[in-house]
This record gives sequence, structure tokens and C-alpha cells, in this order.
Amino acid sequence: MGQTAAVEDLAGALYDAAVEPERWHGAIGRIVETLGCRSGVLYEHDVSRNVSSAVGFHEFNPEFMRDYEAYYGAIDPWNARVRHWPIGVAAPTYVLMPDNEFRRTEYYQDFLRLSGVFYGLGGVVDRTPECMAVFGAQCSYEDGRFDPENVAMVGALMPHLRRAYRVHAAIRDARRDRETLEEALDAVPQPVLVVEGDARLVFANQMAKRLLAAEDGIRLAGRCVAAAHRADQAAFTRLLHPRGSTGRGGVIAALRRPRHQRHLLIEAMPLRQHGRWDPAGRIVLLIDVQAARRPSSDHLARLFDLTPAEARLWSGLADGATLAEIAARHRVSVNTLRVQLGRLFQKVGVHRQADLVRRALELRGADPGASPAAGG
Amino acid sequence: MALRGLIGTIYDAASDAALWHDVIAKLVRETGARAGVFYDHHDATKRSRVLGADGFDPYYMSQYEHYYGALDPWHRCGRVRPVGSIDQTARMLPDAELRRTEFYQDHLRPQGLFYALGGPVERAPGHMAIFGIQCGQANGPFARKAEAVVTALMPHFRRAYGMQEVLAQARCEAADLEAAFELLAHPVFVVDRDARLLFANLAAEELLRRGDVLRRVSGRLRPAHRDDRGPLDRALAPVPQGTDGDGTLMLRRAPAATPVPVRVMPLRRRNRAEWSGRIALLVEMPPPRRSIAVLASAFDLSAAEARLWAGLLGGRTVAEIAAQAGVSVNTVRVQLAALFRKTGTNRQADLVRLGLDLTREERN
Repeated sequence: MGQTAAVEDLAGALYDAAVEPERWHGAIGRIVETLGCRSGVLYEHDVSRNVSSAVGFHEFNPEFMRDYEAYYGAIDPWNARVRHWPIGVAAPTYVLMPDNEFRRTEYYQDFLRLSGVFYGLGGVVDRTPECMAVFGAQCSYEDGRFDPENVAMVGALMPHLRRAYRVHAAIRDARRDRETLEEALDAVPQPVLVVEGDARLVFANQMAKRLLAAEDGIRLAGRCVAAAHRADQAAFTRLLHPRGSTGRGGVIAALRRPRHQRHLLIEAMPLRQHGRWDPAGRIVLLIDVQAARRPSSDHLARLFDLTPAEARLWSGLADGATLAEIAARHRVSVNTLRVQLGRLFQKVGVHRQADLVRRALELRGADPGASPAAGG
Repeated sequence: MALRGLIGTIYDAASDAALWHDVIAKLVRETGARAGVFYDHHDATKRSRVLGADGFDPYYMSQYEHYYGALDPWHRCGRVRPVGSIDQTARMLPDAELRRTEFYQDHLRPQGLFYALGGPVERAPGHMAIFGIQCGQANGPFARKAEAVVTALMPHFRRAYGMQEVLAQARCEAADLEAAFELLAHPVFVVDRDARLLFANLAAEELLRRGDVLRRVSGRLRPAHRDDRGPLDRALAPVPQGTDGDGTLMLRRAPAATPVPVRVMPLRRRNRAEWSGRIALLVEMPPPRRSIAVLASAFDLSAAEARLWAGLLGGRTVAEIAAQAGVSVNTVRVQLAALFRKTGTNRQADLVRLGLDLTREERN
């Protein structure tokens, strides 16, 4: 009965650690204490990269753990032998490898010996094709082998370790995904916002934050997003009910910008998760600032390895100027321009002026240095 | 001993919510009750959500979610009693009083239920969760043994529900951003330092399906053209910290066609300057075309104004458009002035360029 109560108590500590990762060290510490051994660790082993990383450990010094993660985890003979061990079965390490054989390994001689550990007790907590999670408790050669009671206790803890680890891994994966997506959205050259059905801001990427801060087309009114220009508020409000669908399934509004003639184009799409409408009525707002941007001649020159004259010619054509106008502006003959144009066709891989203009328009927006087109 | 298996299932349910039904079914069996339910209630949606139930007719369950839940005397208990405490109907109100309620007459009685035993699992502003078991009046109030079982399970319900909520919150936040990412007009890939593909939005998936610029080869992003492998590998090589690693790479398209610029953007951790070890690749391809109808809704144009704009984009003159529509040139000029005002332009040439910009065609 004493053991049952102890297992339940330890299980509670493991479940608390599942949602608060900083508590893993304490939970493993309590298992070590209850077993009366020296140390313990829960770690993940990435099978394809053959790298281990600790989830939580007790009584190992962090430097030792770093060495394990950097090198010794990959040559840990217990790791290799436990790879096909059934999930949730606890066993002492001398079942995996005879004492004498183990003592001769590089892993023991150069690494484990220094920590005073010889015997281990543990098992595979969980396993996916890419990764396995392993729990182990350790003691020294002098302490002697783990007794059957200890093996039974770790066996009783294994299902709890598995559940706690699964929740821990699922939360960590979701947070990592969120972080990655946030970083990617911050890097893209398009302002993106997620708002509630009542316009409350849920997320804004870096570019959208800049627009909000400058009150450029959109602004923040308390916790809600609104049109920067009062006359546009009705159009903005229509965005929040995007189910009346248009071409790509959203609604578009054009909002005035204070320092630009050209409008900011906002496309609203209802947020979908797993192919379903979001029940809370959240909306993704995608802002098209590209309409107001034009690729700089520098950007074009870099992309296609152009001379400055070729780049100037191209951006002049993209701005709608004729060859004669460009010739006059740069004081060269039209014939010179024709020669440059021929080289430009070759480098860009097109055959007509119209294609050149179209290509320039396509490349716009992806140019980090693109400036708002003069005069809108 | 059966209780230990039940506790295990409770924690399994923390990461697999479908298992709450099993939990409640086992609980009903263990206590000899007729039915049991675990639900939470969000004030924002004004709805009760059944997490797990056993012994209830689905018809009554949905009635409960939509209407009777709010009338349930237990609902009040969920709002005021201490979280984690256990209570019984027999102690909450006299039998005669319960019998007089609409909740009993129209909801419990037809199901042959009367007594309940349970308590609030969680309470936060605008949100609560509660679980309980039910039996008929003939069974009498719940005995001490059933109360002991429910009392023993309560802390596990609380902990497991808390775990489930933390996980649900984390997943919901990631899913929100993923939904926004999917909709980006440009194809965007996110890879790790080994070019392992972590995310690809809808436009990027479409590009992979075509396979003429980039491909997925055993989970890694590879250029379609062999000669681009070196440049792509170099572009993805670890970026020294503190330097601005953004660069553009021209990828060949198979077969011979214009190369496609791909912007390589090392991702930085939010609020910190350091590289996160992940890289986003944005393929600079034109986003799909918008129709004039979409622009008409965006700029709040009349049908005549939209047709006028479409006509100008088609290369026709004001006179031709007037003749075709059977109206005077002056009428079209008035429409044109309105079109200038609404789109913030002041010349026909600007109007045409804006229209072409916004309706640019998807090619290739």
C-alpha cells in the first residue's frame, strides 16, 4: 500500500511537470529520492540524427549533461539496446548488457565512470519513428544492483511518465509551431492581421504593426482595429463579415492612406481551422501594399545582373515611359536604348517590351527596398 | 484497484479528449449510477460543451446543451461552490423543491433521473467545468461509497482538465497563425538548417505539386534543377549572427524558362535579434488575379463605373465605351470623375495602371 501511495504522489508531480516544464527536474528528483538511488533523467533521443536532449534530470551536473547531449548520447550502449525495447517496460541495465562488457565501453570508461554511476534502471517512455523518450535512474557499483521492489516501482510509474511526456511533447510542439509561424509571418513583406469578429486584434505581424503605429490606412482604437480615415470605417466594418464571398472567398476594401494617393487594399478571409469555419468568427486581414510599390532599379540590377543603364531603362519602362521619353531624360539616343533593350531582353529572358513591364510588376512587393511609387 | 485504471484513463483523456466518454462510462459503472456527465460552459458562447457523457439519450443531451443546462440547479453550484468540492442534490435542495422545477419536470423526469452527485472541476472568469453522476429517485440519494469514489477522482479530473486546457490553448494559438500563413499570396516555405520542410503554405504546396521550381525529397526542400543545389545549400548554410542574411537566389525552372527569384530570409526570434535556426523562402511569383468585380466591391463602385474601368483596361476609349453602352460621352465623363475620386487617381493612364496592377494575371 505504501508503494501505491508513493506512486500516486510521484505521478501527480509528473503531471504537473507536463504543463510546466521547469518542474521536470523536481519531479525526477522526487523519484530518485523515493528509489533511494543517486540520479535520474528523462531524455529524448532523435533517432535519425542520433542526438539526445534532456527533458529533466536530477543530480547530474549540467556540464556532464551537455557532454552527454553533444557526444556521449550517440555512443551510449544502453541507448542503442533499448531502441527496440517495448514501450513502458522497466528493466535494470544489466539485462541489456553484462557488467563486464559494459565496463569495457568507451562510454563507461571516458564518461559515465567520472559521475560514479554504474547501474541503471529505466525504460522507453514513448516512441515515434523519429524520436524515443527514455527514463533512467542510476546508482553506483558499490550501491549494488537495483532490487525487485525498485524495478516494480519504476514499472508502475511508466504509464504515468508516458502520459505526462505525451502532453508535454504536444504542448511543446504546438508552441514551437506557433513561434515558427510567428517568425515567418514577421518576415514576409505583406502586412497580416488576425482579428476577432468584433475587430479585436488577435495577432499582427511586423509590417502590420508598422501600419498600425503610423495610422497608415488602419489604426488601433483601444484593442480593436479600425480604419484610419473616419470615412472608411463603414467599408472596414464590411470586412468583418467576409462570408458574402468574392473571387477568392473574401471581401476587399480600399482604405485611404494619409501620405499616399493610392489606397491600401485589405482582403478579409474568414479564419479556417482544419477546413472548418472558426466558430468564434475570427478573420484574417491580408493587406496589399504591393499595389503601391515598384521595384527599385537596384533590386532589378541585382536579380538579373544588369548594368545601371539597363536597370534604369527597365524601371523607366515599368513606370510607363516610352523609349523616346527615357532617351530624352537620360540624354542618350533612342538607338543606344535599343541596343540596351536587346541585352535586357536576353538577360531577363523575354522578347517584348510588354513582357518586360509585366515582369517588373510581378517582381514588385518582393523587393525589400521598394519605395512607394512617386505620386502614388 | 479498478479506480487506478480509471485514473489512468482520466490522464489519457488530457491529450485525447474523446476518451472522456470512457472515463464517465467507467465512473458510472464503478458507482452504480444510471448516468454521468462532464461538461464545461463558456459565457462568451453561452453554451455548455459536453466533454463526456454516459447513460443519456443524445436527444436530451443536445437539449441540455442548448437550453436546460442554464436551468440546472447544478449549474449554480458550478458557479458558487468551491472548486474541487463534492455535493449531492439531496443536500442542495429538498426533494419537493426539485420536483417543482421546470428542469426536473421537463428534462430529468422523462429520463427517469432525480439525484445527482458531483462538483465543480474548474472555474475562471467567463468559464467553468463540472462533472457528476445521476440516478433515479427510487435509487435514493447516493451512498457513501459512491461519494468516496467521486471524491477520490476529483483531484485527477481537475489536473487532467487543466492539462487539456493548456494544450488546447497552445494548439489554438498555433492554428490561428497557421490559418493566416496559409492565405499568404506568395508561396512561402519554412525550413530548418538541414532544409527539412517545416511549413509550406497553400501557394507553396501548389508550387511543389507542379515541381518545376522546388521539390520535396524525403522531407527536404530541393531545387528542381540539379545545378541549383549548390547555390540553395549555400543560401541555407548557417547564418552568422548579427549580420543581415536576407538574400535573393535565382532558381532555374525546368525546362528552359525565366528563372524565378526566391528570397531567403533567416528567421529571428521575436523580441530578440538571434537567429532561430529556421529559414523562410519566399518565391517571388505573381499572386493570382483579382477580377474587376472584386475591385468594384473594394472601391464601392457602381456597375456602370466597374464596366467603364473594365472597358478602359481593355484598351477602349471613352467614346467607344459610351457608344457601346448607348449613353452620351458626358454621362461617361461623369462616371469617370466618380471613378477617379473613388480610386484616388486623376488621370486615365493612372486608372489603367492601377487596374492592371490590381488584376495582374497569374501566369505560368
